[in-house]
Amino acid sequence: MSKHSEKKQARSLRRSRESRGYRAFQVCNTILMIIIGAATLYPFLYLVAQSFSSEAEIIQGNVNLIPKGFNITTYKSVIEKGDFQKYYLNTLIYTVVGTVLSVLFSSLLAYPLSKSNLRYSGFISKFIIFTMYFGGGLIPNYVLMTRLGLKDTMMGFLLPGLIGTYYVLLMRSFFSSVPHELEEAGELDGLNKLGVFFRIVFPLSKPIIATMVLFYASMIWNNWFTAYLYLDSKEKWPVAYYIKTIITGASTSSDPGEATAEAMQVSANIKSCSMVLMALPIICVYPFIQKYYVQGMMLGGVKE
Amino acid sequence: MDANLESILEANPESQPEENPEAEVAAEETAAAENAPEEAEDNTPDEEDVMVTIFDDVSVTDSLGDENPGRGTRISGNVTYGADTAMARLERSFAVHSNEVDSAVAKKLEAKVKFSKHFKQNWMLYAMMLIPVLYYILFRYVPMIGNIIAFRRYRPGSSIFGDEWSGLKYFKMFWKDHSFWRAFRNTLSLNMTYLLFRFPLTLIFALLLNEIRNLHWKKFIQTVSYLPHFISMVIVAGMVRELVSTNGPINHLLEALGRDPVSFIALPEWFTTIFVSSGIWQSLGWGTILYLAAMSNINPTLYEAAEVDGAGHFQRVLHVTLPCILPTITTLLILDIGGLCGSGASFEKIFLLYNPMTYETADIVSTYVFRVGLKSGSYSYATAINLFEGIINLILLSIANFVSKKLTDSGLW
Repeated sequence: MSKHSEKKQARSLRRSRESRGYRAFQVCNTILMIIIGAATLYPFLYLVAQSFSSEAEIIQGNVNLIPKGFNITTYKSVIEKGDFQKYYLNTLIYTVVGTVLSVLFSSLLAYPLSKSNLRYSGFISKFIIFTMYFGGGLIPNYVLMTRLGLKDTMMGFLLPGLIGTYYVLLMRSFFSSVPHELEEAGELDGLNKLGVFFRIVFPLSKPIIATMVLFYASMIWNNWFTAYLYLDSKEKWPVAYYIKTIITGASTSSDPGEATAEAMQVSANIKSCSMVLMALPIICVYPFIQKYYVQGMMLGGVKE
Repeated sequence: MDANLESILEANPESQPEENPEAEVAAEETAAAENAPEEAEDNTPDEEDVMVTIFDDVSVTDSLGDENPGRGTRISGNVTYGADTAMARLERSFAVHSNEVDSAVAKKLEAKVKFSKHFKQNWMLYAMMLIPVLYYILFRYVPMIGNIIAFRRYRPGSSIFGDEWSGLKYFKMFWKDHSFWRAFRNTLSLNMTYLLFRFPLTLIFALLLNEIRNLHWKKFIQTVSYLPHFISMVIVAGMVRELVSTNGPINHLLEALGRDPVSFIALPEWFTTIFVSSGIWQSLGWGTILYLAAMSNINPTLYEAAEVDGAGHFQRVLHVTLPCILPTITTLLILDIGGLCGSGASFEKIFLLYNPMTYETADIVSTYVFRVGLKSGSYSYATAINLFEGIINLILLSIANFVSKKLTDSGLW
């Protein structure tokens, strides 16, 4: 009882110390945050509402946040459609394979670079950082990929973005924060450098690995442009590129009439269904890794 | 062993150390004793272990290849003692015997020993990097060199570095190309407008988030605001097209206000608005991460001190929070200014949202390069434009970095 009242007193004391202006600010701030949150979510909710609506209602423009002519037949038909299944499966395979390769090779590069006593680590860091600021343009890359015979292959889709320099730098700063003593202890126990990395450093780096898995996986999952450049045959398309074709047409916008005609062929509810299905896995995953990527970005943000 | 020692010394004839034969023998014995197991491992047929004795209390073994005696380029050496102790002893003995020793040879030996020892200990780390570094060479540096086709004629089927020199022909061509200059202007104006709105809004949003006291509510808002960052640009573009379409919600709102519907996506004068607002929608939350990280690193005693000094909440933000995150603000601003001329993430969005009706305001350099290069097949011409843009970017970034280093002592490199 007395404890309770004490608490209450303390709270009212704190309240009274706060100026009236500050309390008004807190109220305004909350309202503003609600508005920002709503504005962020609105397009998603709009899309979801459309995906459950009938096509006629969408064309008339009656659907806003509440589905009109509610049905799930659109979802059924999209999911059962062979093409969409294939694209989705492609995306899944690309994402799993690509994420494993990307995280593996990025960490293989980042770990040695985190060793400041390694003689060439400084030079190699500069060597890779330079590519962030200058690089081959679109055409030289395209020519190289074509010449390597990577066009229309899975690796052609994955290789151009295999290692992200910024991600390597994030990993590097994380690895350099792993206590040195642990690595030395591992070496005393007879592990070689590779063993130290895989047995000691890697398991300790769960936050950064989780972050990298999320970043790389979402990058590959969302990638349509590389597919557009290099994947010619339809059966290799990822779902992101399929969605691009139903939004703007398969051809580029060099001929708008043709492009819009193609895009029009796909009804609005199928479009929104496909988009919801594509966005869903990432929306389900990213909040659970938030703790890790915020931490990972913080480490990266602290200057090198 | 002596023969080998001589061969090393011959390789460095200008610097012969004076050695004490007695000490050498003694040291050899101890070194041999201590080193027996390691030496056994190292005895491969094409390598001979060489015992190098420098002074009485330091002994180092060094195995050198036949090809390059005394150069240390064959990298396989081993050291009697643990890395640090051997070096420490070496240094100590330098201090003691400094006038007896020819420092040149000592230095050379030191460097050689250091390097081979270093490599022997760390070759696995170098091996780990091998594939990624080769990746960088092939997929980053080869295309970079491939930019040379801007100066060379490229035909389908010719080498990736082009056939024959064409000089500055392609640069002169785009210099007179109105479409290029339109794209260049658009790139600058779209990026600047976007930066002008996004930068302060992100900072303000971060400051407001920092003022939220209910941690659950704060985390919820953060999670929601990060969402658009993880969404593919195709979905973002699809949403934008839906929202601004003639029977989309925005036009419904206009109708309710008694206005005529506007076909936003087809009107050049609306493109900047669409581009900037959708960009802010997508990046507002994510952009706060680094600010929030910087704010969480601020020492709380600074706030307490400010409070004791009678500063209110707003004054604390103004006089504690802002100065503390100033380095972060500067760094981000430099990055943004350096990217003013580039396309970055905007390429994908513009590519998905523009059309010939809006080229006038929407076409940027990278989309123009795409059309000229891959659609019309003028590879060299497109590369010349791209290279020009890339170099301007690099210059801009260097200037921004230089200014930032002068002003705040922090820069990108």
